[in-house]
Parts: sequence; C-alpha cells; structure tokens
Amino acid sequence: MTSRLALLLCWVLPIAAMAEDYEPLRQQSVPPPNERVFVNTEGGARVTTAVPSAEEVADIFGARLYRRNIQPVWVQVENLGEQVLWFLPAGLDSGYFTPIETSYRLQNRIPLLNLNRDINEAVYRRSMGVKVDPGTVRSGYIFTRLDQGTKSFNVDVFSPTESYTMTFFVPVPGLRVDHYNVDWDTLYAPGELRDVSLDELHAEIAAMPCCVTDKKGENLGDPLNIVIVGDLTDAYYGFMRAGWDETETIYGGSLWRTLKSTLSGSEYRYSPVSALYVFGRAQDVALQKARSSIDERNHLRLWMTPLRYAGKPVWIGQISRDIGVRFTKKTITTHKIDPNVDETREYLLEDLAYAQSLQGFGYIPGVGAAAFDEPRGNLTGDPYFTDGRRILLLVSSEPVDIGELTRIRFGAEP
Amino acid sequence: MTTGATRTPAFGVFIVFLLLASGCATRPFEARDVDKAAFLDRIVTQQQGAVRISATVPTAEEVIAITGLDLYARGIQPVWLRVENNDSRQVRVALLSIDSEYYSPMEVAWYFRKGYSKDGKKAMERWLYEHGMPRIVPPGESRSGLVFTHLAEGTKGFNVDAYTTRQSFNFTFFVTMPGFEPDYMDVRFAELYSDDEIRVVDVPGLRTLLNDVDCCSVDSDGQAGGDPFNVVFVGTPGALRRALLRSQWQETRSGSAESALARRHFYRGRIPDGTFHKSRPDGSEQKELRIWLSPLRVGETPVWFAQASYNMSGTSRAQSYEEYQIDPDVDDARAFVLQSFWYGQSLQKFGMAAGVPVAAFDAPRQTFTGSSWFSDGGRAVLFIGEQPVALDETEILFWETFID
Repeated sequence: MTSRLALLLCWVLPIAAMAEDYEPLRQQSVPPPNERVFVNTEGGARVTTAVPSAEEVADIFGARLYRRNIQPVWVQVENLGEQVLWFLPAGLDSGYFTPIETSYRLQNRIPLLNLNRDINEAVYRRSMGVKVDPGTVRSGYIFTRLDQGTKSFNVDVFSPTESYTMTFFVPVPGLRVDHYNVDWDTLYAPGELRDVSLDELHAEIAAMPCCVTDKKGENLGDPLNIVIVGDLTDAYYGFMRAGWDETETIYGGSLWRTLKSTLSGSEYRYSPVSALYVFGRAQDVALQKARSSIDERNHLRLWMTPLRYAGKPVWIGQISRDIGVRFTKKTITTHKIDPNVDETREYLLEDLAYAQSLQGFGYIPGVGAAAFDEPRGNLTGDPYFTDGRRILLLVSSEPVDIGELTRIRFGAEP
Repeated sequence: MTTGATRTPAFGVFIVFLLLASGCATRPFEARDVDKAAFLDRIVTQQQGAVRISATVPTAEEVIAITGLDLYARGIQPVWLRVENNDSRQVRVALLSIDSEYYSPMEVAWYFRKGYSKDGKKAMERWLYEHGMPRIVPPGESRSGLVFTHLAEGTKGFNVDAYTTRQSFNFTFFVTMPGFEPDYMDVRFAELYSDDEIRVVDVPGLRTLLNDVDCCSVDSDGQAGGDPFNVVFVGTPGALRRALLRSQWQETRSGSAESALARRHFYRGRIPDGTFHKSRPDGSEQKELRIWLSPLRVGETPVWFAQASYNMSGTSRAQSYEEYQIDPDVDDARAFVLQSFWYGQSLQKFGMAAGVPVAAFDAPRQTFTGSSWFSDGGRAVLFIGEQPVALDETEILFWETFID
C-alpha cells in the first residue's frame, strides 16, 4: 500500500511541476478604496492612486494595518501604448512590505494553529503586480510604511524605450495639521504685501530680526537662518519630497500620542512643537524630519513675510537639529540642539537639493556671527555658534535636477 | 573629639566614594594626531577632472586609539576624506551623498559627553568640530576630515558627490576593512570547475538552457529539495561585487550565525559561495541573497545562480516560537532583487526565463528546512554592467510572458 502510494506520488508530482498554465492568484483589477483618487498621465502611461484612511483599511482588509505601521497605497496603471510597462514598487517606498509579510504582521504566530491562510490570501489577491501588458489596466495595493497628514510618493514606470516618474501628494484624513488653522488671506492686509527685486530682497532680509523670541517678544531665541521663496504648495511639496513631515496642532489627541511615544520609546513623527515668535505671532508652519532614533529629528518653523519675490511669497524661519533630550528649569525636558546651526543649515540645502526640490540658493547676512568659544543661547539655554548667514532657498514643486541648481550671488560675493 | 573620632572612618569612606564616583567625571580628553594614523596607509584615491578624492575608514580599534571614543559601539563609523581641488572654482562636497543620515560632529560629541572633566568635554567637542570634514574646498587647496556615518559590516561602500558651479563629480568608493573576511574570500573560484565542466553559451543559448538546469538547491545529502534558484546573474566577479555593495547588500563573514540558514542549502556539493543581506532601515526584516558560481559562461562572463529569500522573523513578537519564518512568496523576493539592482544603477539588461517549478499559492512546495514557497516559475536573469547604468538605460529583454 505504502509503496504503491509512493509510486503514485512519484508519477504525479513531476506532472504537477510541469504544469505550464500558471494561474495568477493576484487580481488584475482591484477597486479604489475611496473617491480621493489622483491621476497623472505621461506618454503611454496613465497612473491613478488613492490612499485609504485607517478606517478604510480596516474595512477593506479586516485588519488595523495602520497600527502595524503599514499603509496600503492603491495604484492603477493603464498602459496606453504598445509596449509592456513595468511598475517598480521600490520607487514608491524602498522599504515596502511584501503582501505575505503584511498579513504575517497581523497573525497568530503559533505555527501549529494554521489559522492564517485566509488572511494571507486576502492580502495577496489585492496586491499590485509589476507587469502591465499593452492596452490593459492593472490595479492593486502596495504596502508601504505609514505616513500621515500628506502621503508623498513616486510611481516609477518603465517601458523598453521610455521611463516615467510621477510624483503624488495625497492627503490622508486623520491628522490635525497646524497650518490648516492659519488664515492666509488675513495674515497681511493687501497694502502690506510688497514685491521686491533680488537686491531689495537681500536688503530687506538682512534687516529682519536675528532671532525668534518668546511670546512677549522680550528674549531672543534660535537664529532665523533660513529664507524660503515659494508658495505654500511649492514649499510643501518640496519638503514632502525630501521626507519632511507635517506637525499636529496641540490638542488632547496629539498630547496623548506625545506622552505615549515618550513612555514607550516609539516614534510619533507628527508631534506638536512649541510656539516661537516672529512678527508678534507663532510660526505659521512647522515641519519635522525624523531620523533613526526618536530623540533625533530636525525641526523647522516658518513665518510668511510681507515680501514677494518673482510673484512668490518669501518666508523666514529657523532650523535646528535635535541631538538628544535634556532637562531644563523652564520646560522640564527639551531637545538638545546641535550648537553648530550652520551645519544644520547646510544639511537642509543638501537635503532639498537631493530631493530635487530646489532651483537656487544663496546667502544673506542678518543673524550676526557667534564664535565657537563665544556662543549665544536660545530660549531654553542651548548654546549655538554661527557664521551669521541666512540661507536663501528657492524651492520648486516640480523636480529640478541637482545639476541645474543655481547659486545666487549678491553684490561682490565671491 | 570623640564624635570626630567616631565620624572619621565613615567620613573617610564617603570621601573615597565621592572621589571614585567623581573620578569618572574628571577624565581629560586626549587625542592623537590623525595625520600620523595607521589607517592612512590604506587610502584609496580617485580622480575626476580637477577633483581628487582620497578616502579610508579607520577600524573600531583605530578610532579608539586616536580619540579614546568607542564610536563603533554606538553604530558610528567615521569615514576619512581628503578632497584636493585643482579647479579654478570652489568645490562643495555634499556630505549627504556619503550617508543621508550622517551624524554631525557635535551630535557625536553629545553622545560621548559623559565621564569627562569640564575641560575634557570642551576639548572633545572642539576636536570633533575641528576634525569634521569641511564642505567647502577653495580653488587650488585641499581639505580633509571625518564624516560620521552609520556603521556597516564588511567592505564599506559609499558615494562622494562634489560640485562646482559648472560641474558635478560623482565618486563611488569601496574600502575593505582589516579584520573582516567576507565568506566569498574563502572560495577558490578558479578551482571550482575544470575546463571540461565549463559550458560556454550565447545569450539565446543561456535562455534555453535555463529552462532545464538546476531548479533548486538541495540539502547536504543531495537528496531533499530546497529553495529555487530564481535569480541568475551574468557578470564578472568585480562587477557583481560592486553592484551588490552599491545597492547596500552587506557581506557576511564565513561561518557567521547570520548565514546559518543559507549554509544548509547546497549546489554541486557546496554551500553558497557568497551570502549577502539587506535590511529595511528599522531592521524589521531581512532579505538574503545566496550566490553560487555556475559552470556556465556567456562568452567569457561567468553565470551565477542565486536564491532570493525574505526572512520575516524580525517582524514577529513571538520570535521564540520559530527559528526562521521565510516569506513563501519567493517571486516578491526576486522582484526586490531586480529592483535593488535597477535602482542601484547596476543593470545593463534583464529578462525573465523559466526553470523554476510552478507552485500555486494553494499548493506551495515544501523545502527540507521546513519552509514553503510558491512561484510563477520565473527566473530573473540580470546582466550586470561594468559601469553604472542610468535607470532609464536598462534594456528589457522579453523572454517569457507568463510573469505576473
């Protein structure tokens, strides 16, 4: 009996292995998760994307993937041409999760209880493939690392002769972002706004306050060492592309998440920041960029000035690199910043340039120099030293090749 | 007097304790001269136009010998650079190009602030600040310094981009580290196959042949089946190694615990000739690439068989229940390898061949290690360029159409 079974198996197995008709389990077409779809067409490729919210994900997959740091992105590629298209998910997120890993993160992991097949299959069926035949439409999910606020990503599509890179910025509901509260129209009266030439820009910026202040405007804090030219979407998309995150306003939910992340050592990329003051008001926009450890992130705050250069608003701001947490008398704990604020300023230049978010840059005085041995202090008593210059950054919402970046020189600058 | 006499021993102990406790915080900072450091003997130099860059990487011990700081223990690996600018314009070195999450010198100083006297801490901060690599190199001058990068095991591969207002210079360095012997260094590649065994084919011949040869690895007895060879490389050993390092695949030491699973897979009686790993930045999963030299040659270029495998166990909270948890979707691991070489600008051309048994999602194949896999049956055949290949210059070969 046993030998006969073995014989049968020997006979059946090779046949099974030779089966030519591979039937893909993956669906060719998966419906979008919501109506918030974004479409982009280039040459022979039309790409549509949508990002489901935490609740929509739970409905679609029957699991709270956001809690596992996984955010499915729905991608549809229409091949309008006559050549096969390849869609590369690594362009969307170089650390994307495979479908099986996605379901694995949800599972009961005692292997003997094989309860997980259905979850595996449900996730796998909806995942996006890499090949799109001519004249066909293909859609499905890519499982990316979680971004809240606005999800920014590229979709890269290649054919044998063409390549297309499309950048998407998709709002994800669920985050209370600080700059949504700013009423941009009433920030300045129409008569206050002024168009300036490049030389006027230099003079005006050089005359602006050196530093942020506290609420009363009495004490000087961090140096105002960055100047951005671009409208809100330019700046926004430019920074998003470089991996910067938005910041939540201070409310119950964000304070709770901050406390939780402090206690558990987990990461809360959108934690609210304290208010610093310029022009008598707190920052209009705060952005942050997390690094590997939770204590290590870069913060920047921006204030819109009444100036316009080349039709675009001019912003002044400060950037600091948090290198750790320390105790203070004023705020109990605060982030220790890198005292070499010029290093952080130059980092931002490179960061935006490599993200292809920058058209031009230059330097303007106004901060006032402070030597390594004679540092100045910010509002929480952190020392800093600087050559005293501000960096002027002309940001772009459209990608600009780093080779095309222009250095702007003022007057007799070398 | 009597009270004083009774207090003295306890007081003395207290003073000694204070001295001991504060003894740790009175350490001065002493640094040796970098210009005389032994690691400068291992400098690698490259030149492009008017810009000449030399680079080397001190070992953990060499860093301690110079600074007294155990930077490696905190995951920090300094890279030493010297940039010579023979252009008439100033050169800007983009530190971000070397490591996009580099540590700033003052950040390193903050990590190591404890234990020094007040002057010691100041001296340490100043030393790190002054020895950081400057970004600007004026015309006709040279600058040198350290860039504090994230630690990578094995050969250190990194880019250095430099710019003038007119031109950009893009360098890629691979610096071997003394004391680290990657597993492939143990293999005598020239002796693996006799002349009779070598089989020379052309590209169409390779495609045909791949449909028939060696589907999978076997166990040490050569009996039970293992993982499929679902990636095939065509490239010189040097080009393959550079491509792997450029895409941040990390080498492993021979016999390391990391590659224990890889060493259970055999091809022609051998464990993998080289095993490489690549992790997500948070370290939550690990891709493994096991590579064997095959007896096939396309013209004179060697053909390598490889297995792409995806270990998910780093993601599990119940890790103790299982030794390894391999993603059965080996096609996805294959797609990952393809993309890592494509985005790493190492891919001259690629095609999909058959040769892996088709196994449906519902009827996965079991391997001798206890894991299972399913596949559409495709093999990715990657032709590795000797020089970097721009993303949109990779040639796509249309061999098989069944790939999903």
